[in-house]
Amino acid sequence: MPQQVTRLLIVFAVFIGMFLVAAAFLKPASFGEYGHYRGNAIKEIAAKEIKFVDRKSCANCHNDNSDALAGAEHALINCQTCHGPGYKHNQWFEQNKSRFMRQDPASGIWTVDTILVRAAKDIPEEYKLLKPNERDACLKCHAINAARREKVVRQIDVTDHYDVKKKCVECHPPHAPNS
Amino acid sequence: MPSSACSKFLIQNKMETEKDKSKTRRDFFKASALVATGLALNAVVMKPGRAAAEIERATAAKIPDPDVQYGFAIDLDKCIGCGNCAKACKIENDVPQEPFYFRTWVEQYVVKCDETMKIESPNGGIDGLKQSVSKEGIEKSFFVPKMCNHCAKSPCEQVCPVGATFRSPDGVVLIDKEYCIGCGYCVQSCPYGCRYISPITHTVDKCTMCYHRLKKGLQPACVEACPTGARMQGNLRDKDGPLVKFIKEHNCRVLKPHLNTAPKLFYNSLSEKVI
Repeated sequence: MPQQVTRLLIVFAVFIGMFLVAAAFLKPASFGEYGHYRGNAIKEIAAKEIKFVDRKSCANCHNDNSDALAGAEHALINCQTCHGPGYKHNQWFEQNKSRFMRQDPASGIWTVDTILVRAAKDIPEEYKLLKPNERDACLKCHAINAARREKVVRQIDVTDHYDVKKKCVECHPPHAPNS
Repeated sequence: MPSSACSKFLIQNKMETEKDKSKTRRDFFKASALVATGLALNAVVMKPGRAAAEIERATAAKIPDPDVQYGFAIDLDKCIGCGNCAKACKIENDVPQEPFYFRTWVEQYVVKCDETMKIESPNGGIDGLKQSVSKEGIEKSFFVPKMCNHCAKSPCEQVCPVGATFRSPDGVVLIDKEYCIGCGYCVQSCPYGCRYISPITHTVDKCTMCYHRLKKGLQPACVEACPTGARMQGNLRDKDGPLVKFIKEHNCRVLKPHLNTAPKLFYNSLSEKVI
């Protein structure tokens, strides 16, 4: 083999070797687990904390409102659509849960007393949920718009509806507006 | 005499310059070696520590699940343009509040009687979309919520120079924020305009179909927040599931089918004006 070819081959071998060594050190452990990417990236994305909680968890304490909602026009709407994400609100409850437990005298089982929870007035501002009662909150869905289908949502032209200074919720209770 | 002194000076000067040059070159090699060692060490040392607990916790659920193929459907007949989806998405995914960063947003289309169109989406529809054309001038009007189409042949994945965008085995297009260099090629390549460069991380960001919620057994935030049930998320492999049933029973179309991106976001009653 000519000398220059041998030298070239040696140089190639050295470079490929260096590449392999560097790749072994620099490549993350989970790379190639599922494809040409870092497998742990999927797990990191999946590990993110949620903010909108499971809709069932609202009814655990606020069963009065969920009862009012059941069967009413707004029954299918998630509480958090109007009241905002519930993760912080839930955190406060979990931290203070012991205060609201009550033992059933007959069976001896400890349960959360929902009336006691709802009566709690010391919830800090940052843990409170929104209570939108301005007109704009209702009109986001109910303002008349040619793009809205009448069979999906009832709409109102507020410029000529009753008393324009009054809030919608004064006449239409938001949880059961048709009651 | 003066001429020889001058030449001596010149020679000396030349030697010094060469000396300087060789010094810089040696310094360069030394610095390169240091950088290379540093990089290798960094990779070795940093590898195990990062958020190990979080990853461990996530592994409990089946992440990713190759047996499912996530898809999405939007019933445009039911969309009322309230923007609750876009608002919930921003909260859930820490999307910057400025009106030009969105993972999902709602557009209002107005086809006027003179056959011109008005398409608008002020603040992504978060404050509720208002009718801006008088009733007499409207031929037809409708809302179109937009989000990542999670294409099976996604252009964004193909153009990424560092492989930061990938399709998970369960069919969701995701971004590895640690790999992303923020070059913005994918932002340009997305035919649906679904990506933006985050001003906080300076990496690209877009809808993950709330992957973190799906893996905890919950629906995406936009689906939860929709008051009319216009949004639907499900498994395309589940042939008896509600999503496949919906797509089968309705006249569903995808956006820009001619681009052959194979979107997994299906629209019911999608007007040809949008495609």
